[in-house]
Amino acid sequence: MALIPAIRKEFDFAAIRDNLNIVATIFDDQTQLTIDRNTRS
Amino acid sequence: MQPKGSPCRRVVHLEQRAAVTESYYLILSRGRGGRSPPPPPPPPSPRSFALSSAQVACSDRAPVPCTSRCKAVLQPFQPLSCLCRRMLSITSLALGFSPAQKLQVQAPTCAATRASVHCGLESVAPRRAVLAAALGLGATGAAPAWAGYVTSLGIVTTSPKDAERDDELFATKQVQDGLTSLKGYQTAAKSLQASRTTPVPPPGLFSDSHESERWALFTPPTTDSPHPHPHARLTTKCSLLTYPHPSLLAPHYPTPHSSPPNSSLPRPRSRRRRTWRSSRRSARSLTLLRSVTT
Repeated sequence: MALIPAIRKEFDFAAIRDNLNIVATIFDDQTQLTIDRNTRS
Repeated sequence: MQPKGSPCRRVVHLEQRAAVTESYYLILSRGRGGRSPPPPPPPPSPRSFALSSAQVACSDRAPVPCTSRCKAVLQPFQPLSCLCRRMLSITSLALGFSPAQKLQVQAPTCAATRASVHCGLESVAPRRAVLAAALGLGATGAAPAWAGYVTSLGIVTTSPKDAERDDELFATKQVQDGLTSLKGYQTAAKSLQASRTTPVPPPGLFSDSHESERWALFTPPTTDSPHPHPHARLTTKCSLLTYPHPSLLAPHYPTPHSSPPNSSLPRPRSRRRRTWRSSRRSARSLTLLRSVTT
């Protein structure tokens, strides 16, 4: 089973990162740092 | 030449020093205006005290004259009546300026008294046992102190219970849309993970596009299926190639020296016949291989 086409189709990395950044704004600064570090990793 | 009966030069010198000291304290007392009592005299210097006391306390081994020109001879522990008047007056004057020494009364110590002091708990827990237990407890249960070390530079992972959420921002449309998208990503990731839980061939075994078909060769055919496995013959071929018959791989070639010469066994066959039989065996093996592979 080819995984790469499915991943490219289901997960748009730029959109995922934008959504994570938007959702993380509801938390405090320190928590935002943690979420950003987890997103980058 | 000093006249007879006059005091020696050292005694005169001590007299002069005592007079100077007395006048010095008088000046000090006048400088304060006389309103306050004179301060207590400072302790004499060690040198002056030694000079003044040397007239009285001498060596206890031999009589020591005061000077060569003085007729007074000091005897150890000699009574004061034997000394000359000048020496006595100077000595008393010097002692008057010396500080009064307090009598230090020490508490009587007795070895028996000190040895009789015992702790009441010593019979229950000896000191060595308590010390060993304390050391063992400190070695095992004590955590190291990291107060003086910087380990994270303030960058730590926030636990979920410590996260503070802004409810106003949480209720906005952008955040809710982002949450919905993230939930969709999570669902897609779970479905993709579930689709990859089937056994997969090891990577690098086949490099062409028919990976799954080649992998089916290694799976045993089902016995309850009405039709035989389409790759049954291929599977047999592969098993023969993987595990050939031992006669095909290691034929036995008996040598003439394999048995003792005087044994009861028959003589080994001739070399030509053995060669013919081995060649026939090889030909038979090749025929079998060809029939299997075609």
